[in-house]
Amino acid sequence: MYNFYTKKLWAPPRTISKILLIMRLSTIILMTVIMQVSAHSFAQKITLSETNVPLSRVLSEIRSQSGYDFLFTKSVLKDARMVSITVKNEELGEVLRKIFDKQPLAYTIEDKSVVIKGKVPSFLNWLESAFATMDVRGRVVDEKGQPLVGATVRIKGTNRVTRTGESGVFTLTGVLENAVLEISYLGYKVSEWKVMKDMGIVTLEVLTAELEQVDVVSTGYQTLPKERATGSFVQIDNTLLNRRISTNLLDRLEGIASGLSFNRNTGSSLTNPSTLSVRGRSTIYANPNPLIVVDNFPFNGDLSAINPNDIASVTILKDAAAASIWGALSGNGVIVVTTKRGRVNTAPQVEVTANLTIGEQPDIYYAPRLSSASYVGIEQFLFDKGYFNARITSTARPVLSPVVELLVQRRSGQISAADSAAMIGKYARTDTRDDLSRYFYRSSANQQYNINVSGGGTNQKYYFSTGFDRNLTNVERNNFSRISVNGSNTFYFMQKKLEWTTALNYARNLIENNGNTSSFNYPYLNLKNEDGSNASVPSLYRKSYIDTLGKGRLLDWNFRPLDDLAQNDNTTRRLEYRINTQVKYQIIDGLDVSLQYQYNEGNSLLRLYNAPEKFYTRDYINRFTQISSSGVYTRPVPLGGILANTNNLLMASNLRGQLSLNKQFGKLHAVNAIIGAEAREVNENMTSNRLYGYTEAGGAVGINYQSSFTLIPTNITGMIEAGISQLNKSNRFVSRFANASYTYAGKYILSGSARKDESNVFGAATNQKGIPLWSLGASWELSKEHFYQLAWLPYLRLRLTTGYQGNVDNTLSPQVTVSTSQTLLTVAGSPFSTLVSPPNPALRWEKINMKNIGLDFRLSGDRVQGTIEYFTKHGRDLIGMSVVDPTTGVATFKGNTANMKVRGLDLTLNSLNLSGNFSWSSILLFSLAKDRVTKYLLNPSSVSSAITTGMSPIQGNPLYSVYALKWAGLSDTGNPQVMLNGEVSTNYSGILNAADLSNIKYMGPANPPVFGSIRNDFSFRKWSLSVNVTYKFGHYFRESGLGYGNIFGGSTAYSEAQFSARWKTSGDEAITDVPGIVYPANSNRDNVYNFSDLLIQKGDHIRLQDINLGYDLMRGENSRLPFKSLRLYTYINNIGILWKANQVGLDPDYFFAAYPNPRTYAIGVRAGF
Amino acid sequence: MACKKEFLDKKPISSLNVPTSLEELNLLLLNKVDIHKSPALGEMSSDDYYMATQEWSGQFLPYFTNSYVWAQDIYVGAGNISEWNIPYTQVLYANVVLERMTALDRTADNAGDYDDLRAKALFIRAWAFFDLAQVFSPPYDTQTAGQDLGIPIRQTADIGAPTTRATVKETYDRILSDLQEARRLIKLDKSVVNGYMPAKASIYGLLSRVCLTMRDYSKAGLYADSTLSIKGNLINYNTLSTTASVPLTITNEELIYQNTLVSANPLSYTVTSQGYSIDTMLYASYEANDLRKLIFFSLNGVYINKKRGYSGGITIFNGIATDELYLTRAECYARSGQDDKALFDLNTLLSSRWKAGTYIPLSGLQGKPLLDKILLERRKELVFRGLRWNDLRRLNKEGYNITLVRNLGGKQYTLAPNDIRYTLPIPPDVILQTGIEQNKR
Repeated sequence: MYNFYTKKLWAPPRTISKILLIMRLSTIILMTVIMQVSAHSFAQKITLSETNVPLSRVLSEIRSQSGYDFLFTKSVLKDARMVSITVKNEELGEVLRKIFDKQPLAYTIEDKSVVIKGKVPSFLNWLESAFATMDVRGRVVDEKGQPLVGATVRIKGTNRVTRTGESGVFTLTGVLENAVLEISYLGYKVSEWKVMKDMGIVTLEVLTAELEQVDVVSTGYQTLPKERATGSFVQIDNTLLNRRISTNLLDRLEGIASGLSFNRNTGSSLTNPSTLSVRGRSTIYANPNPLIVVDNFPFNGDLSAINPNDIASVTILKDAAAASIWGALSGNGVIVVTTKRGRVNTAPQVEVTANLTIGEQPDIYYAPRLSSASYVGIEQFLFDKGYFNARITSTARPVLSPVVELLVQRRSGQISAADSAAMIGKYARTDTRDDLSRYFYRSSANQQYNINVSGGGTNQKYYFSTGFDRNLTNVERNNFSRISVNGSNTFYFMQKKLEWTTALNYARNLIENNGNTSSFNYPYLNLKNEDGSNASVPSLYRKSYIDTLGKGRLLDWNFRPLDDLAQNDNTTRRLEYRINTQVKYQIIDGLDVSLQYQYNEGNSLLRLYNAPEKFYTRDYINRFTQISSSGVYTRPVPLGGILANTNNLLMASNLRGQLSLNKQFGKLHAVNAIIGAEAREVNENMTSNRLYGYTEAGGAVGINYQSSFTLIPTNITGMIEAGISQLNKSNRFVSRFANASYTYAGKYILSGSARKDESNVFGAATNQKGIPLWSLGASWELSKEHFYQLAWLPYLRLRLTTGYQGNVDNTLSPQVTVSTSQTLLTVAGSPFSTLVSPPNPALRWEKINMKNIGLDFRLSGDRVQGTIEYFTKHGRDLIGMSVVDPTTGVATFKGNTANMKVRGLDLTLNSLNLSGNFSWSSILLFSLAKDRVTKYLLNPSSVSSAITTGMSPIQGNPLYSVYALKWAGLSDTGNPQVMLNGEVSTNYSGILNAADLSNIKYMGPANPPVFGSIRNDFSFRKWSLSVNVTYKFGHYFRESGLGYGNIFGGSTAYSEAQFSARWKTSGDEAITDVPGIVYPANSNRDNVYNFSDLLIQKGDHIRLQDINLGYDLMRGENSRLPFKSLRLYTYINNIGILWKANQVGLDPDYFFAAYPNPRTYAIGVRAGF
Repeated sequence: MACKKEFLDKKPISSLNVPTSLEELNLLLLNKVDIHKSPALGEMSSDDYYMATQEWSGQFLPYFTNSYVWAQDIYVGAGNISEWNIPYTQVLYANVVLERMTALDRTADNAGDYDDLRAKALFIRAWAFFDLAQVFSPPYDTQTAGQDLGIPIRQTADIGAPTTRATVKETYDRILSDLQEARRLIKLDKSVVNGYMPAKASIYGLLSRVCLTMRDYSKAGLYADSTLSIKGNLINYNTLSTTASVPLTITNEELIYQNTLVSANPLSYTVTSQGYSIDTMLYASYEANDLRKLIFFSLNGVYINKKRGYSGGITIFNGIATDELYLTRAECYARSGQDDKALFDLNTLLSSRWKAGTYIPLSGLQGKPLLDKILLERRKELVFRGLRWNDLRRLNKEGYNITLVRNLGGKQYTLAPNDIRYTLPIPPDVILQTGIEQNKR
């Protein structure tokens, strides 16, 4: 093979030499890579002694000594001079330098090969040839041989341009002999051709969709070839987006984008949580979510209005150089979503997608719960202790559980001991969850259909789509449906110098939220009676009371969950539309001016209708019923339904003007720059109201909201809820921005960006100062250097960036703010205002400095390529609480006083393990993001507030940390003990109220600092299989312990295993750590155990997330097929945990949840016509 | 550019109010939650009540325990003391109003409301400054007031402005001049809505209280007289229920200005709890036909509970009421030798307090015995009205030599007359944040 290969190069056949002429370097490099394995073992020291011999002969000698190949075309050597050289045991590089010193030739070493080219002519050389010109003529056609009219033909590095005429023909006069022509046409690859008098027929290749998406990153302001970007970008192309089937766009990004984490384990108990973060957390009270940009503008609407099938690609901007162009909005990273567009000169292409996803019924037995038998045991215990006596005799008739009712009847002799034992025994064997799972939960079924058509003519392109989704969720009567319609059109005028695009996106969502699964107090209820009718369950008052009260003149006061399930009517309708228009004009070649406007409106109406038959309505009417002393019943809350409406209206307008420069100057210099300004306004209006006596026919009754009424049966007074509220928000921004990158010789890039934001949120002082947020970046493609010799690493690029991103907390104001209470609490009989925050003229943006070092590499053979990046994020002037001199009138103050730091690593590694008929590739994503609060001026006030609050910033620790008390075992009386000030203590109130935070132990972060995935893609002929395994490491969570106080109060949400392992008798402390029951319960004692480090679990786990199996058919193979391409696929999601560190049976992503996301199975088809 | 400025002036959230009109600023002064509250440390350190030992040792916050025995360090490091913080929050409210008002034009149309608002803000700030001075700075003494350290007089809403201590003289000068200005600007003579809004009567009432504290008896008497000429009605206690647990309510007709002590203190337990009691000697000084014995107190085992405050609340009323001003005027008459006028005031008050037909008007008392009788009745009438501490500081300066004694668990604590501990320490977090000088103890 070696011989054959060199022979070809030494004397290339005619055809090959022509190709070489055209695509010299890339082709050669590609071929060399294949050869590189055999060239590996040769020595590199050279010994030569030649006088006046042809260059080719010397090279031949060196080749045999070094194993290096020499790549050149015959024509290159025709100018070579004779060589005289004497060297002994010298380095190859040194020898080559000596030889080529005197040659009119240049060489580069690439992959153990020496590529020889003509020397770049010096200025004098250039002058010599400057006057040698010729006239050039050619004809440009597409792949089918059809002429391309209006194609641009440019002499590379100059401003000389012509366009092809009617039959695709062009002519250029006076072209330099060594010039290169650059021929471009929209939708086709730009190609370069060496000039000849007669260029003949030039065929342009169609630019495929993949190329468009893979090679280009979009910041929302510009698109850049990835090779020209210094910043940290993650691109997700259409294929990868379609790998997962989902209704929501963001769901599709999980597990496939490096640095992007889905914070599932933080739960709703946390303060200001974010479900999604790019490279960790760098703010405390400000907006914690990444900015989502859709079609160049920040998206303020509801993401569920976007149909993922209309998305062409997603780019995630991770570092300052990538994101800081978004200025004050970019502090949490930016996710840029680009919707699909048509292509010029393309026949209409139709794509049809349909899929069906079936989900397993949720496992509602997952969450820890006491068994019914244990609960009955506790009730009996409490009854004997007299715990219920006060309730039993209370005139407010609070509800008693069925078992306690039986015990009361037994005590008063109404039933026999045997009967009560039998009935109580039956409760001990009944589990409410059985009926819940039967009547309230179901398998989910999601259907998704989408059809789109795209294409274009010479001066126009378009994209239209319609989508329909219908999801039956896993809770009975909870459904979602969406209809989306999109259209975009682009027209070109004035020989494509003027471009006008309009787009309209419309979506209508209907969310039905009728399956209220809130558990029904007691663990042993039946929701159906034995005769099959819907059972009444104990709710607010004792049944014996509500059945007799009012002698039938009150409404039925029984609560039947299954009746309510059928009656629930809780829907949210959301209409969302977005119009976008853009005009772009090419002033001169490479310089565009554009004006873009987008308007986005979302209107959602939440309608909660409580029908007259619903328990809520009957209860509300009954409670307010007034019984006069003469026995007259009046109803301040009228009969009929109760309807609550909440209307949210969002209106966002954006206007942007921008000048873009994208130009190559000479062979070496390229500039890519934008400068522009924009204004943005986002208005939100929320109003809500409540109608009483509502009938479907449109009736509603006026209500007395001002009076207080005595309520039945509690006798306390209350007013009828008016439910009227309104809130208006308005955020306005004016921004100026600029971004430029300069590329030298294709290997050195310098980039910079600056942006100045002003808004109505921030103080006059800050707005006027207008310190811009900026970034700087540099990149160096080492592998393009002459000295670069690592053959095993043919591509190596280093990137360095730094800069500032911003963030906003728009609940704050530089002015003094007050809140006005309309409720007349004050005896002064007037509304009054409370000071919310004193004036803070120094309020300013949060600033996040991010530094990023990245290395892009590709191993020889293209089998392995990847990127490794190290970053630090330093949030300064973060909004935080601080202690101030109370003499000022406030003791704590919210202002720009905190700092945070995030350090991390992102690694992406793609490897092609097997290629050919059976191919196998692997993608490893590894991300590390460790955040730390570096400055915070207000410590939690006590040990218990540090442990329990959703966020307790403590200097030196992550923002969301898991803290615990140091467990010191059970005492010999079964009491929990922990360490307090270095001593074993049972002073529970002292432990929890201690101000000295050294009494708590930092266990670790609550969010995983390490996360990522390993995806393996296999394909065999038409089959493809993709398996994604995700992992999260390094975080901790607190499993629920055992709270006797809560259990006595009726809670069952504790582990049966712990309950049965509790301390029962002296000596048990040696075998168990679960405290024994005490009566009365002591909630501090419960908490000391529940907050102890015993219950802290590691969150580390590895999950088999999903599998996608597909089968592809193309028309090329079978021309009778009615479609161009067809993909049939099946997809299984949420498959299961492969390994987890905790031994307590909890899924760390769902440790607090009622159940983990059920596994889903999908089948689908995607066809192109 | 102007267009851009307007664009960016829009309010971001409707519920985030930046008060800009007189009406909106006035709503801040109607806040009952943050205004109408005074420090309780003085009353807590006074001698009208006592705590049983086990109650005393079980107090929730260290300064509740320590102030009771006049300990040197009462806070033992704990900060966030409402005794200091709440009055200064009131100062901030007033300063916000005063500062933001300057951005509004005073026009012919709004002049009345404009001036009235400024008067109210000045009054509220003066009230807070006066309260603070009674606890955190030494008693007023014309000889030393120019050197004694007063309290920080904050006159800006800017939380960045430094905190420094004024002298006692500067403190009282500021209080007096603010009240004088308020007196000139205020619109109404009498407060409507149960005394929650300052009016001319409340300003005169406070001026009288301030001058009495400064031992400027002639002025104190004049201001008391001015107040009583606007509102001087007294309740006939025979019309009140002696068995009711809340005999006096918020509609109490003697009320001129509503104010209570802060709720965080052990004093409120004296209303209901065992272990908290009114001083037995004080209780014994009420004669059998004095209705106040039944209306003010209830027996709870061996303990004498004080019924709810003068305006019906659990927290102790220390606002201004007509009875206080009768006593002040009587004292000032007595001090200036107008014994008849003094006796008349005293008899007027007491005859409304005794069982109908049992009160024999005092006559013939003169000089020191008359003054002593007035001061005794002052203590009996104004029990648990947050005024005893001021009186102790003032009367000891007059040479009354009152020594306070606490007996706890066999140990006796005393506070000698004019002891430097009559000035309480400034909370440690304030000292830490500002570096201002701590009071000597």
